[in-house]
Amino acid sequence: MYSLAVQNLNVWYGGQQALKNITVDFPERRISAIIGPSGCGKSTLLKSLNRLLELNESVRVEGRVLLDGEDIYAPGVDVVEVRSRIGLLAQKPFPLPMSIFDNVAYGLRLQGRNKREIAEIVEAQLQAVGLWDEVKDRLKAPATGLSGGQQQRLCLARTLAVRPEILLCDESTASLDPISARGIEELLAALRTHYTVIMVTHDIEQARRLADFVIFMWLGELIEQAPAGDFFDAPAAELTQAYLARRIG
Amino acid sequence: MNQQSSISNLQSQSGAKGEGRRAERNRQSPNLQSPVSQSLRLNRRHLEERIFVALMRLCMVGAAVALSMILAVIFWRGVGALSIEMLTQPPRGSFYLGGGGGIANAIAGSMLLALGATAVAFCLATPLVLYLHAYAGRSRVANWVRLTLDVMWGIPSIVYGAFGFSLMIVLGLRASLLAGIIALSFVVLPILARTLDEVMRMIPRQLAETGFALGATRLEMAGLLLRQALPGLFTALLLAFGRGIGDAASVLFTAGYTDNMPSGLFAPVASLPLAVFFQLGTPFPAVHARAYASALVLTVIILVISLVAHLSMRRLGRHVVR
Amino acid sequence: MTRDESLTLLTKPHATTTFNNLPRRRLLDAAGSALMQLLQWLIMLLLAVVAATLLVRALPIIQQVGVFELLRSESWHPMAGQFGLAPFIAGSVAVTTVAMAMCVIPAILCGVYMAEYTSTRTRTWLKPLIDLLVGIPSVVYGLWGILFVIPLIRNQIGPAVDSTLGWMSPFFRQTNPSGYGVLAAGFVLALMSFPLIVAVTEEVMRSVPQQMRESLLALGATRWETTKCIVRHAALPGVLAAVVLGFSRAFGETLAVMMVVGNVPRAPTSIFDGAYPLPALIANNYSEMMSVPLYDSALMMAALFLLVVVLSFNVLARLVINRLTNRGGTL
Repeated sequence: MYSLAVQNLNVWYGGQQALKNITVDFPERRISAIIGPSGCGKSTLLKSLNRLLELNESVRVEGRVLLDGEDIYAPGVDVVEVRSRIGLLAQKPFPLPMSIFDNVAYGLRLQGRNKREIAEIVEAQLQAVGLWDEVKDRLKAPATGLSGGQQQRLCLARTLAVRPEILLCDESTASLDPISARGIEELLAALRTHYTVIMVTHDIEQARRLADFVIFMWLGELIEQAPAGDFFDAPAAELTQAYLARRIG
Repeated sequence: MNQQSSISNLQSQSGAKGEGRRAERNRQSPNLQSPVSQSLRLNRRHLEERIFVALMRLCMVGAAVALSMILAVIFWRGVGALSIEMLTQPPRGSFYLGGGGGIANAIAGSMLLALGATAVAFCLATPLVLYLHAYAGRSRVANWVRLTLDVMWGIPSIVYGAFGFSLMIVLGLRASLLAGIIALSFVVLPILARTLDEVMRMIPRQLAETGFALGATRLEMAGLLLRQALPGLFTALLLAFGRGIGDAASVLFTAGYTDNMPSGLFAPVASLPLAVFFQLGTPFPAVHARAYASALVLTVIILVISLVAHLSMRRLGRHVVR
Repeated sequence: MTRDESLTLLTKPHATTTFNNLPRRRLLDAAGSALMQLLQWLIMLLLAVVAATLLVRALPIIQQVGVFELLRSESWHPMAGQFGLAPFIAGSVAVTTVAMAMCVIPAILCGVYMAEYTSTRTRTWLKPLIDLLVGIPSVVYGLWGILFVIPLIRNQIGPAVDSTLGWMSPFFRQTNPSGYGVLAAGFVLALMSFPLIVAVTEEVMRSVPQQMRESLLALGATRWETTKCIVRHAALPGVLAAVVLGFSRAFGETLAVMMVVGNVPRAPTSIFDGAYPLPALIANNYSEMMSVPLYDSALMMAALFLLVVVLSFNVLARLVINRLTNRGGTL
């Protein structure tokens, strides 16, 4: 449970290689941050972890992604199950075209849970992300009416309601105002010990605040991976030092 | 700092600088572009713009006049012969000689034909388009399907009428509501499918990502897509219905024409466009006036459909993510 | 329930569900997929069936007379067993050409103007109006042709054109004082295709990203130069598709044309001549075609010809469009 590892992962977009031989072992029930300049393959790596890359037809993936020791790219693996075990919080909040309640309940309904259970989990989930008091009177209202920060919290509730073991965050605070971003960060910090969180960010300070483990990427290659303390205090690679000192990127 | 990257940085900087210098030189060299010649050139460019804008305005006005004249002429000539009797009664025996009665048979027939054809097309087009978007993506076969639909859209409805007629002979059917619906479905199907296809193409990619990330199967994804496309689907249905009600050539052979009210799937039915056409075919001015009134009824129906489609876009779009 | 309580509730160990309904969902998914895939092939089959049926029905006359003879022969005497389609093909070509010549360029200009030069507010009421005009049934256009265009051509345009251009070429001579003829039909068809082309052109132009407009304007281009650039490099395939759509509509239109074209089975030599396009031929004779031998076969041949022309035109246009899009808009 909760373990995710990448072994010799290569990804091509058409003829162009986006990820070059990546090998990472994400620590369980900790926050791992993937940092690097834009276009370095952070998001590609993240989306290869729950096979969302396949939505793009020109993509070719080689290598293994091990979820609890089983390769999710192996033939015969059920993508739907993999994706329900690995949640994704996208960059921009994207409510589904339905009401606030239905948004959170969507994944639960797919799993075929009964009405009472769904109502209970939805409430607990909205409580957990701190949205319950704001929306409890208008659960039937369209989710598009919420503010950006509220929408992102709703999306987090929706993702967590499915009960994933792994949570992927793709620059999930980048499109939010500072206060909402702070709220999401606090939530993620609170989830630290319950989920394996893997977040992509271009904000070094955010990684410093949140991460237990940091992975630095540069032009599709993994340059350095280390526990956060070591990474920020004594980066080993020259590129990492330059990046942290904001000389490059 | 990484050597390579710093070099490439330097190169790109010098490149930018070089270009800047070149541009400066251009600006300074007097024989290339003096301020005078440049402003002359600018004048010419503005003149060209003005000419074309005037031309476009002329086209707009011309078209607006011609097209609004259509509506005006139809209204003007049609209103005179319009009466409650026209709308509520089928033609009596002497209708085509100027006697009493109305076109209720044609109104009901047209409605049934268009409704039936739209329903048939809906049952085929919606799953088809959902399949194209949830399963097939941009595959080769999907492109073939789109091309097929485009070609089907282009095929004249008279051809579908002729095809439907042949089909009737093979099946031993006579001109009937059913045959009319079948032929009309061919006309409506590509319109509905392609419009829906365009609507679904506008759906942000993120919807698919979100749905799949929550663990939806492709079939469940199709349900999500449908939900997002609901207002578009409704508009497409209305559009298809409008096209179906206005089409005459496909039902000419297949639905036949009758002065009775529609009485069943296997009985012939009248339709509004054909009512207009046949009334015009008589030599009596009084019947001609009724043709104008029938055309007005048809136009008003289309007008209402357009209006509803336009307004419903907003009402139904409540949940839609933009 | 407080927030901390809810967090512990949600994250308590073994909260993860077993996927007991997953096999059922997978089965549904597979079934749905298979069904819809079947539909996809069905659609393509449908087109093939239409073509095949017409071909089978046209076969008797093709075997007896031959395709080329049928398309080339000018004598149309069904009672004598002569079914030359040439006059009707000429009629169709003449009517469509006149219509396209009248409407393509103005329609594109209008579409471009609507997309590039009108304010959003104007567009909000102009667009529904155009959509409405696209939806108006052809019989209404035909009726308008009878009520307005025919008298206009008979009394004003006919004499005027005849006296100014008539001496230059027989093409403009007013041979037919009734007004019913190629010009009237072309005019009606032009107005029918017009809103369609405008609507599609406008849509295509609007779908070009705003960024392209902004960057071109920032380079110091005038608005018209920006527009030209967008049309040439981004919107050309779509505009072409719009024209093909307009052509298809004009070429296959039946009722509206039938009402104003005069229905004279002779190849037109002047724009005022009466003509007899193929769709009108089919529509006018369906009732008696079963009583004369080979008549129905000849009419199905006409329908097949219409289908083949529209089909090849569409496929050809698609090829050109693909080429255009692949090369970034330049031919």
